[in-house]
Amino acid sequence: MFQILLKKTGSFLIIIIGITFLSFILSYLSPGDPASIMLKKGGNMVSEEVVQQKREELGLDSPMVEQYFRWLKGILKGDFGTSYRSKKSVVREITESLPYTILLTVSSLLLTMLIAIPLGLLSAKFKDGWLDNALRMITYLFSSLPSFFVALVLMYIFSLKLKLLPVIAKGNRNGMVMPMLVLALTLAAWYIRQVRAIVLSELGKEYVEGLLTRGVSEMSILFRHVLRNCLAPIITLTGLSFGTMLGGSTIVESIFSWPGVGKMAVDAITARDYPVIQGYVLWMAVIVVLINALVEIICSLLDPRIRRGRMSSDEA
Amino acid sequence: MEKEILTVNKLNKIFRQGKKEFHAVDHISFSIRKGECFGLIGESGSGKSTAANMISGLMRPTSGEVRFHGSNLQMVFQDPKASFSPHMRILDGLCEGLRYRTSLSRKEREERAYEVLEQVGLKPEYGRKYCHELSGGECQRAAIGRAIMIRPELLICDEVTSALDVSVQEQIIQLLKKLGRENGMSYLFISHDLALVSGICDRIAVMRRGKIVEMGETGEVILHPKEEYTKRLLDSVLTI
Repeated sequence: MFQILLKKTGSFLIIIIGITFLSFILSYLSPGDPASIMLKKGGNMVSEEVVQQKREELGLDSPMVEQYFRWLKGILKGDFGTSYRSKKSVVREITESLPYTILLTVSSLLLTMLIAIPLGLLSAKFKDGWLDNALRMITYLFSSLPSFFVALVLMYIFSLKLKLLPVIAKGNRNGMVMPMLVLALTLAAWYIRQVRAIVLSELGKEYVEGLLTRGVSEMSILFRHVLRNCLAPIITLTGLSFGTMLGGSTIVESIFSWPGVGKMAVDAITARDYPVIQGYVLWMAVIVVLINALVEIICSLLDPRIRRGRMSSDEA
Repeated sequence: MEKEILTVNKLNKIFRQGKKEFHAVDHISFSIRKGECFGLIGESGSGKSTAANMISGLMRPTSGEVRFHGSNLQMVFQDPKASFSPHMRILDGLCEGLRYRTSLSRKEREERAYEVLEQVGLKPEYGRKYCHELSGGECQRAAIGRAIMIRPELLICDEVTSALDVSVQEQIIQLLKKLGRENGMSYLFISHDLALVSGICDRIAVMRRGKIVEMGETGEVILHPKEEYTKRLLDSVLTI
């Protein structure tokens, strides 16, 4: 057990260092100087000496590797740096945006599951029937549409025409409805197709035929056996989406001005706010790795075959 | 004449895809007597499994009729591991049929399951295992056990030994013979393996392209085949 934990922690650290280092290089190489962007904001004219002074103040004059290790040393002490723009600590920047992203992610994923699992099951159960054909057409349409387009259509209908919902979300409950709908609709379209495919492959297995010959009802087979055996791949998919969405749905958050981490990241990239960008990348990496580990644990609890596979590979 | 347990009359199955038609089973007729082991043999794609699926009710025939003169028939499949729901322990898999077909309590169902495990030669502790923790032969024993849980009068064995190695095949055949004697069960034994079928079946029917081309006592068909196709099948066994 200790060995497994050690192995996992080791790979976790390697991934985190690798990702943060790569993002540091990319930020460093990207055009635009944070010091001049900060000083020349609003069209101010600033001399090169002042810009240079600012660079030195922010530590941007030192070599890239030195800057990275300085940042890494700060992380180990719990200091994630200070935002160049807002002068707030990076931790504060993230923790202020995070509740909005968590709220949007959890609500839209729940809505996605509520739509996708029953419809995916029904689509598979009535394969090639009118419901399946209709669902396939609708999901094909929604999964091909980019989320910003769906967002604009919903804005036009609910905000401009029906005047039911605000155009700008600003983090309130009414404002959350549209970003949640956009995320859930586009994601559900893809999920319905995935659930349908997973259920269909499960329905074709011999044990389903066996259960039918033993007199088990179709509904019981679908919900007690098939759905249960499909849970592991569905949870894996959900985990992936959850991790990605916790990193903020940048396009949707920006369109609706939802103050989540996605919008925070876009603003930070525009302003070359390196500490915030690095903090965001670190958050994304940690959350994706942790959720993957959590998904692995849940799947092994649900599926005895995975549990056994893990046990044998650990023994080896 | 002994009473019949199954009568299959002009059973027919056509698969359609657009304008294309495929005649999988072409008006086959046969009957199985009580306590008899009837073999349906033929090469892959000859329609044996489609016929079995229609007899067990898994597939609707295009035309023809299947008359089962008993109360329970069960089926054992080719791949024992795929025939168990992966999240269920063997004991739960065994009890599943009884749960839906009888009013027995959980304790009674489990008692019957342990009795059946013993009958098929598996130790009681196997009941707590999952199918992926068992070998192919053990899993097929469990699958046979699961099928006999509800005391069927007819057991359809669809290529039950094909996925097993030769020594295990023999053990499974011996087990089926023993269970047949003990429970008075009839068998519809589906296989492409003539040598195997000759060791267990009383009568056999040879299928080709959906049709029964020859039918009779096993010894008679094997020793004096009337059809060219049967001769070729026998020759291929002898060559091997």
